[in-house]
Amino acid sequence: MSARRITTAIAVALLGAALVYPLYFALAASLMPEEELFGGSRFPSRLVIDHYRALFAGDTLWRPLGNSFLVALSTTASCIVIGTPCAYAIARLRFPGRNAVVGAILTVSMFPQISIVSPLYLLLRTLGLIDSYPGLVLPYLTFAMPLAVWLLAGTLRELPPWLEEAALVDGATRFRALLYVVVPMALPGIATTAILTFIYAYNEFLFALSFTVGPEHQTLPVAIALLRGRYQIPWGEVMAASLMASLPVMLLVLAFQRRIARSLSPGARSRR
Amino acid sequence: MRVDRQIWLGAALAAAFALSGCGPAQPESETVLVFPGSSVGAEAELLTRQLRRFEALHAGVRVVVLPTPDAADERHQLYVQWLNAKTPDPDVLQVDVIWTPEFAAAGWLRPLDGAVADAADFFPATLEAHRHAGHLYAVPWFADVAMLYYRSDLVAHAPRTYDELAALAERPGTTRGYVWQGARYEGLVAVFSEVLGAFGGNIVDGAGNVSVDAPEAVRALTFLKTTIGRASPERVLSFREEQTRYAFQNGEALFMRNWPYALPLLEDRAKSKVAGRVAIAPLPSMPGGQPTATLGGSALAINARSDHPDQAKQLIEFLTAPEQMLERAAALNQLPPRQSSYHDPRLSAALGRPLAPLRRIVETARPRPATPYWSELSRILQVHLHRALTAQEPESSALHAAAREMRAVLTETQARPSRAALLFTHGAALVLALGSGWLLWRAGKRRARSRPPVRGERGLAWMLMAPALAVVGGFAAFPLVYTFYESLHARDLRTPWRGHPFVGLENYAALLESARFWGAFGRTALFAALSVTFELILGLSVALLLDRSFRGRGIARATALLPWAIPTVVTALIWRLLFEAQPGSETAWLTDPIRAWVPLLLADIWKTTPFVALLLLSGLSTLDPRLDEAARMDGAGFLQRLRYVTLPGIRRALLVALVFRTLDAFRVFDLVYVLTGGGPGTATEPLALFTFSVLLENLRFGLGSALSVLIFITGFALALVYTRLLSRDGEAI
Repeated sequence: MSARRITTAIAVALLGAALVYPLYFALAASLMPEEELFGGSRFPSRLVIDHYRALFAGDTLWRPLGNSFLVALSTTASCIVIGTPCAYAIARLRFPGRNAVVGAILTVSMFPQISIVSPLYLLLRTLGLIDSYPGLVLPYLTFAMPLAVWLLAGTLRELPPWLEEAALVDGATRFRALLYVVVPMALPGIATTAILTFIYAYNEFLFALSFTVGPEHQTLPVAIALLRGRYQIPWGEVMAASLMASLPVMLLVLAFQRRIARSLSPGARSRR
Repeated sequence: MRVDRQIWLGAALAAAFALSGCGPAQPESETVLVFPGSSVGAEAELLTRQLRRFEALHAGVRVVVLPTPDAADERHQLYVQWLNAKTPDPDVLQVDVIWTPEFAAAGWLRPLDGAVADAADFFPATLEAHRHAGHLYAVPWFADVAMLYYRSDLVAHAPRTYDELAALAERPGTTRGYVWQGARYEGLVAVFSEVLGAFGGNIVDGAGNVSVDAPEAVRALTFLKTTIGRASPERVLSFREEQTRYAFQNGEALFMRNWPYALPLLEDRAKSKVAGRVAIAPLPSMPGGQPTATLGGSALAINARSDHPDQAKQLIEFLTAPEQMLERAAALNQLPPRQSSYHDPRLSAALGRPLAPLRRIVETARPRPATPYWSELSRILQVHLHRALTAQEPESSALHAAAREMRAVLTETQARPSRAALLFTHGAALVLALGSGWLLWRAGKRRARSRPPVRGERGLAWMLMAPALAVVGGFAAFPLVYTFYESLHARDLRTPWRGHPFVGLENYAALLESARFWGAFGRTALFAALSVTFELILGLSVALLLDRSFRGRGIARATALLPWAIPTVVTALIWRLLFEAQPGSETAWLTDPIRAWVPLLLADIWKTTPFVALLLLSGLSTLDPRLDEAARMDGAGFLQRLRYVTLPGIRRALLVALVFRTLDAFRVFDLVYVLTGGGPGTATEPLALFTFSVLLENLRFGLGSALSVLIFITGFALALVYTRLLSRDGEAI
């Protein structure tokens, strides 16, 4: 038994190292002088905060960070507001075309985003939405919606139907039942869905790269990817920015790890 | 029911409110000029200083700097997106010498004839680059001219020929080697065109014909190829300007090809190991050719849609006046494009060296071919040059392929696909149409047999779903249909005057005949297969590990989600730096067509394995431990229990992981875009990246749409297979 414990301990240590090392490396790179980094060093001989100072002083972090939050939060809010009723209909109501709707939504979640970049670009250009916040939120909504509806439908299906049935018997309409009975009960599931939607929108790159044209509306991933000098990449600053950008989602994940893991595994849940 | 409607109306309004971003208000009393410029370092400081002086001279005009990346190719893409979106901002554009004809031909720039009072003062080559169809479209701002740097303490005099240069660089010694820009980007084409000039050839000949398949070109490329691993380290194949400078500055090279900006940095005693031991010379030549240096540098132009063309013109006049150019030379060592400056003792003082040799270097400068299609021609050449240099293609066939593709671009008609290809595509389209029709018919039949729906809930259901369906339909379904429509037309956004005629399936046929398409297709499949296999195996191991009980399991599980949560762009950057920050080591990961896959796969595995593990872990947690225990009692070994108890038990979780991962891997974009850019050559270019380059870099919307449709069909087919697998597994999704 103790042999098993030792192998477990070694395996866990190896796993931990593999998971954390790249993050450690990013941190070290953001804190050491550039000559040293390109000299092959992995353990800084002295720490410098120049990269962070440069980052915080300029506009390279704050504006995109604000954009990212605004876009991700708008996407999340809209997605929940629009997605919950849709999920409810799919989870609880029986109507012709239900399978078609589920199929259509699933299809959207599966198809490659690159395949609609060009028409979306033309559509947004016609609407005058290139390089605007709605110009990002609307496409994000489209791609976040399927996952959100899927997760929400799963959550709603798990709720005991007799509570809303009771409300219906008491004379409430389906709407009221949904709003006052179902939604409050489903709040934990809705919150998890919101977190996942937020992470998706916050991390998205292709649309943000294609539909924004300047730092005014650029989101963080794009800003970081484009953070370059005329002839070089300021790696120290890039790593500092990368870590700052990852911080919010890392905190979210650490705080809600259990929920996220659970909601992502529908197979397990439906059998529990 | 009425109350409910109101609630929904309110919700819809709230959503709309959440959506409507609020633009910043503009002050109206003054004219605001938007000027995209550098936001980092000495360049930004200088620009701010000069703009403040301009504002002091012109009351009522304010110049706002729009920070843009300095790297030329990224700036180019940004400009194309801006100008193509027809925004009046920015007013003044900072264009590289090679962009002017392209932008002018697209009607994006305002002619500047007469804006330069003393045109004769500029070096003719610098002005020539900015003319298109007889008009001047941009005013030269500074000239970049490639030159040869060498170690004056180790080399007696600058080599006159490339052979001499290679021989000296190969000479055994502690410091040896010749470093140049060999990454797959515009710089590589510049280096190549210099060697080509030295060998007596050119990219486009005097009559405007592509001549990169001439014998001189093959000799020039063969020369570059043979330096690799001998006169030049293998690493140059990933070098841009700064990596070459670092190598030279750290004393790791004898010779370097670079622009003037490097000089003051190399002479900086605090940071450079070679300060005081650096000399410059014109680039070498070969018998039968002449010394050739690429003319680089920037010019200033006005956005054709600018609301303030007059003020923009004033700004350009101010920034291109001799005084400002001198200041720029002093601060950044960027050379003035004006001839008179080279008689000005102040320039000599600012640069800290005599002017005569500099002037000689500037006079060797040759502009690259002035054609609106240069960006696209150059990208074709970059790909083939890099493929040849990384030994993916023999020199001669690489150049012939490049010439063929470049000619196809220049003849303005896309290469006509062959009859066989057209026949094949039409046949395939027919089969697809019939096949999907049959599937639909079958699906319809099956649904008719299912339970009768409840009538009363129908209206309600549709109402509940309406907003979601509207969004998904409007921004996914409609664009998809539109993509299909576009794919049947020839449409090139850079040449709007050609309209977009219907061409049937020609775009598809062209793709099916293109080697780059099939290459990208194969690589996508390979990437998906490799990454998913590794991730499932590793993910299962990790899941089995995390399923055991040990102290700190909660922390381990939480940590495992971190790589999954951080933005892919960040993952890609970290892994790229991990493999790039290894000087001295000759293992050049990112320049080897095979080894470049390692960082790519590692990054993807690092990011996604934990996610797969968690999916499988929750599958494991539903298993009845007694089953495993019973098997163990019966004497089943670990592998047997895995095979007969564990795996069947988590079959569904495995399937879900497989579906998610394959579809994700199939559309991989961010990771590759940031980590390898698809390089070296096209060695790691997947479909999504190829599409992106066709669509948004070359703006060929017809061809790009056809590509999109093909990707969609493949992805859809995969999805269909998977949904069937999943639903056969028993549960509806």
